[in-house]
Amino acid sequence: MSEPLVIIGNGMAAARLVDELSKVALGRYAIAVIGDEPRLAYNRVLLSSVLAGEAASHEIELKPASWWRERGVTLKYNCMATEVDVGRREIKIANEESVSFSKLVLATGSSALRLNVPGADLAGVHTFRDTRDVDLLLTLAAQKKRVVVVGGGLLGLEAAYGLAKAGATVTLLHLMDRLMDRQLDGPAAALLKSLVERKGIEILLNASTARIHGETNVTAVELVDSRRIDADAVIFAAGIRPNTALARDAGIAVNRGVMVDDHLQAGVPDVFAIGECAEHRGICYGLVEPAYEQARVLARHLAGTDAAYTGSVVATNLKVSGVGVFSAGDFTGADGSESLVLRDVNHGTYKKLVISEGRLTGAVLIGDTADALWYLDLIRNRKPIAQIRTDMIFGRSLAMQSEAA
Amino acid sequence: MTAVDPALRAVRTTCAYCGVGCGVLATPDGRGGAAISGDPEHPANFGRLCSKGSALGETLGLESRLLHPMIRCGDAMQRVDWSDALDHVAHRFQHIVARDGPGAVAFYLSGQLLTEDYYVANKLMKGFIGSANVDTNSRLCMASSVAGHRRAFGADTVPGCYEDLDEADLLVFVGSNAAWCHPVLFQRMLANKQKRGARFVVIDPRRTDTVGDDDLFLGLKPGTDSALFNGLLVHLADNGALDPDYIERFTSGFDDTLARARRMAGSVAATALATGLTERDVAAFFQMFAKTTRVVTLYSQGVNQSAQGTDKVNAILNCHLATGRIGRLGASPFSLTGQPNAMGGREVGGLANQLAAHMGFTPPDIDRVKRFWKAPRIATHEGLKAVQMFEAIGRGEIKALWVMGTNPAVSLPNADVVREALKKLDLFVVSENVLSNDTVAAGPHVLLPAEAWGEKSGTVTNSERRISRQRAFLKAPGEAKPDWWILSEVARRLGFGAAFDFKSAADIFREHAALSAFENNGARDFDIGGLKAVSDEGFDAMAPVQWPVSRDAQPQARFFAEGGFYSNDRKARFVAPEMPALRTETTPARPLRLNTGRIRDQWHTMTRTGMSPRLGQHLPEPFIEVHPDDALKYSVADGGFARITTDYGQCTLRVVVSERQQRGMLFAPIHWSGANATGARVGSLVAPYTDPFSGQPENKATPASIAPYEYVFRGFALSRMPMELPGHAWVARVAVTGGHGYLFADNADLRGWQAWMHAAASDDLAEYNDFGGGIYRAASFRGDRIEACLFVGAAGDAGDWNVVKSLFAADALSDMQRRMLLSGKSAEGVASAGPVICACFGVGRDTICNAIAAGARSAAEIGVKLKAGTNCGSCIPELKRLIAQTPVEVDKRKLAVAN
Repeated sequence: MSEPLVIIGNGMAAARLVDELSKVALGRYAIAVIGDEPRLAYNRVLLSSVLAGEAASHEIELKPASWWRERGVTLKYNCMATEVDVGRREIKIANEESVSFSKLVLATGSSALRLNVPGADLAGVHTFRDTRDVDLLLTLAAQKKRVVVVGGGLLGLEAAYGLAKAGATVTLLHLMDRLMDRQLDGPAAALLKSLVERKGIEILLNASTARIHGETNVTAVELVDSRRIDADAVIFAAGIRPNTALARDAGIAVNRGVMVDDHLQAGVPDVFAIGECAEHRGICYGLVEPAYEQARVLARHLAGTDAAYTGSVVATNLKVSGVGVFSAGDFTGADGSESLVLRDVNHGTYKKLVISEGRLTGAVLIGDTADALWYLDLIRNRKPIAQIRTDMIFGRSLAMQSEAA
Repeated sequence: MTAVDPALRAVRTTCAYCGVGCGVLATPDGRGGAAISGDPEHPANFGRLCSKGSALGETLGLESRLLHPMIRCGDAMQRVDWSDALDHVAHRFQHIVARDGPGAVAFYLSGQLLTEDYYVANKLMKGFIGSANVDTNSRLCMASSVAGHRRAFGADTVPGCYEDLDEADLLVFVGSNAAWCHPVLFQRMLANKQKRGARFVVIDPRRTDTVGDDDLFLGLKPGTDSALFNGLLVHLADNGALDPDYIERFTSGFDDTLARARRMAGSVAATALATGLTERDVAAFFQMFAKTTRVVTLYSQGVNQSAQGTDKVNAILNCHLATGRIGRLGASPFSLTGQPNAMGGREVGGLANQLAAHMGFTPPDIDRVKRFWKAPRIATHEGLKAVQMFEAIGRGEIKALWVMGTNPAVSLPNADVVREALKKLDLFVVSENVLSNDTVAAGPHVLLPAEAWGEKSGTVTNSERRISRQRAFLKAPGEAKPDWWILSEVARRLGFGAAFDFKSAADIFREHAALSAFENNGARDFDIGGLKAVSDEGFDAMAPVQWPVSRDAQPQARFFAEGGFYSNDRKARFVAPEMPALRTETTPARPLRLNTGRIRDQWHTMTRTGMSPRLGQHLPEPFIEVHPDDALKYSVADGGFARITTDYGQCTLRVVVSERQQRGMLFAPIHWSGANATGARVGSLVAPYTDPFSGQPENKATPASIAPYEYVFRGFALSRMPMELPGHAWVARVAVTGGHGYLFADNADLRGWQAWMHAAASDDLAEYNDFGGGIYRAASFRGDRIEACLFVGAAGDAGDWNVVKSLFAADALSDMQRRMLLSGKSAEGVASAGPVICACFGVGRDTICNAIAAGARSAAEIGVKLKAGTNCGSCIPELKRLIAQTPVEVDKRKLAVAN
């Protein structure tokens, strides 16, 4: 008899966990996946592609229904889990009967933060988080609306790019003096800004939103410095918050996220958390790669093999507005480190490698990210780079050639 | 197809460079350039050209040309009309001659001038101004051969011809790197070696490229050539190899000379001791010479540029006279001249110790020339030879100097002192092709734009006495004029219009030919009287012709096989050379000797060859060659830098460590100057000691010291426009395809170079810096083309000059090339997967397309093959697009079959 294992959340982490489990523990668990979105799990990373018209909504589905079926998974989408009873090992579902579990995995993800400013509740204020948001934004763009995107991080840039590409007039507001300030140094951010501006997006830095004007509908955004931007809609993309309500209500220890140990186990036996809702060693990751690593470790753990998750060296490695962006490690260059910088602004390239004690400790790449993974590998493995220092910024192929020579 | 412009026909002319005098076919392209090829019909080269000659087409640009007359106003040169410039020159000459006498003025001419230019300059100075202060850069080149010829033959006669080089069985090179300096003749001799088995003996302190594997190389001590040839004379006498009949009938002074030779080098052993050679090598050479009837001894600067150059020439001539091997097929001494028209200058008499047309300063000659020229004030004694002329300028005795077509501030010994001396002149006139060189930078009062090669028209004479036409195939640019015209205009303004009423080069040639025949009757070797009535059309069409071209006598290719020398008794003279000795001694402070010379692909001070990217490739930097033992002893390393110091100056040069160099000897090329390098004016190192007979300086044996000089950084810059590099750097300029190249070394901070580049470059700038690792590189662009670039780094880290140079030559860089440019390394062989599509697994577009072409027709299949798209999946839409765009290889094959 298979043990009932329930996953709450039907996103990328959940899909990956099922995939991993089917590889290492096929048949051991009777898996049920409960998700509130009304569709099969899809690739959230690609929402911006859908918004930009580069992919159709149905194309971003992670796995077809048959895939889930073949793995014996009970899929309950469009279902809201309302309560977890840890003692009785039961989950209540809105308008449905309860489901019991032997093991529970929380993969509830996160939600977009809404700024606490006057007018934040007006009609026309949206977030950019799921396919429903995308449909809304596409409607706005189709009407050639003026849209203000609040937040110059990855999500905000993706939303701005998608909207602009879909036809909206977009202004992007960012609180800090540079875009993606947690991933990029000044020159990289400046280059990214100029590349994004080339797509017709207006970017305002040091832009702190004071209030949103409008009677019922948004009409403008006012900044703390009194600047005012006319707008038909506002998209909040200024950060995310792990979805922890269900866990909290169940008495599971929650800090920012659901606190988990190296086996991804929450404060209660047989309850686990992975993905953006989890907090491991004080860190809530907001990227897909740690979620996948966590899924892999958890699957092994659940299969009874010895596996531990010790955290991820986070690297940002993706396309922002069609521009390759990579950032990893000590990208600012701490005291005592040295920096190698290659820049060709008109050619849309910026590369910085930070070296400390003869090892690569950080990297930022804009434009040409072909060797991003190699740099990440060098950072992770702490390999001495003295022999390849002269050529490494020009890529692995050249550096290997000279190292061999 | 564009129709071929019938006006753009190939023009037959001769090369601008060495004394081989190769025929050139120049086909103008109608845009100021020309296609260059060898003239198959010219008897010097039969269609061959060397690297320099072949690249003549790359040297026709007008970027660096002087195009208008200019007069100094304060610190600046101002453009003036020709008439004003000529008035000024004439007026100032007149004034100085009136004030200080004719001895206070001088002309310094060039082996690059045409015979007609030479003739007018010589006539004006010697016949009308009344001074013999006319000398030429040929003084630095073959004056010792002239003096040796005159002492032995009674005239400056080259007895043999090029055919002898084809027909000899033994070719002895003395102080001649013919492989580099006379390449086309060298090829003829190599052909002889291959076809006929001729053997080569190379006598030179340096093992040059003239030495082949199977040749006998005699790496003698510098300055000991005459000991070797004295020893040879003794050997010939002691082994029955003389021609007693020839000696008896056609020569004098043999016994005394042999006796002297015996005292100096009376045996193989004594010769070996005197020259530093092994007895075995000496004996081998002596035997080869003794046993081979057809022997040509070729000599060049290693013999001539010596304080005993004339004696060396005579020591060689003695051996040929004693064996009667002179003027016979395949048997002769042969002086290889360095310049295209050194011989023409000698024929005209454009040297301070000649009067005109192979006549000297004897009363009958003076009288004859005076009558022929109707000269009002003929010079009656020799003038000052080059080195002495510039010393007199330094002392303030010569107050007016007119330099034509040469760069004495670089090429003369003790060149820094010469450069300073020029600043003392009351009147300093320069007729030039170029706007800037070290002489032009030495403060002339008047600059006169002369026609350059390809524009001017007249005659030149090569090493075998062959007069060839140099013809114009380009229109003179700007206001450039022929030198003869400039001189004639000044002569007219000085009141000598009637004697200088020349309308064309042909006019002058006819007068020159007439003077050569004037009251000659076989008394003088140089006689081209047969050409004195040549028509303008005949002159234009004149085919290469060897002198003498007498009206009465039969043409002859050779001289002296049956005597007929030009001394009073018509006999040749044996001249016993002095004990071989260099003029200077080495000391503990100056323990080495500096030899100087040419390299293969440059010419003189590079004002022409320096424009050719092709020629800049061979040896782009000024260098000093050192023997490995000396390198070790003086702590200099191959590829590093060294300071060379003599009592006269100091240079900083790149070190080349080479076994080809003798221990105790250094070698530096003569070509670089202040105009194209920093600290590489090798002329400034050279001692100004001269031969007592020829006045030629000893350029090849100055005592010197060498010490390492460290530069932390090396680098190079390339630019479409000329650049001014920071003054603290050591720089060598080199022509590159598409612009200007600079090789440099420096000790200043890298950030200074960054600031310099920011100031010099356009906004579209790419930069790479690893200041901690000592690297800064940058390139600016216009569109896809490099506008300028700079590479600086610790030795070896600057980047690959050749790789970057070839990218600079390109009209457009690909994205890949631009991305890899600042690596300074070849991107060929660097695997490129194309732009990254899957960031998670670093899979590139090209890799993906290959997989699709090989049959992966869905994102999932690509994922199975390459993992692409299997992590975050954000590239899947792009994968699908690529699938749609990329045809499958199978389909392509089908298409191919269907077609």
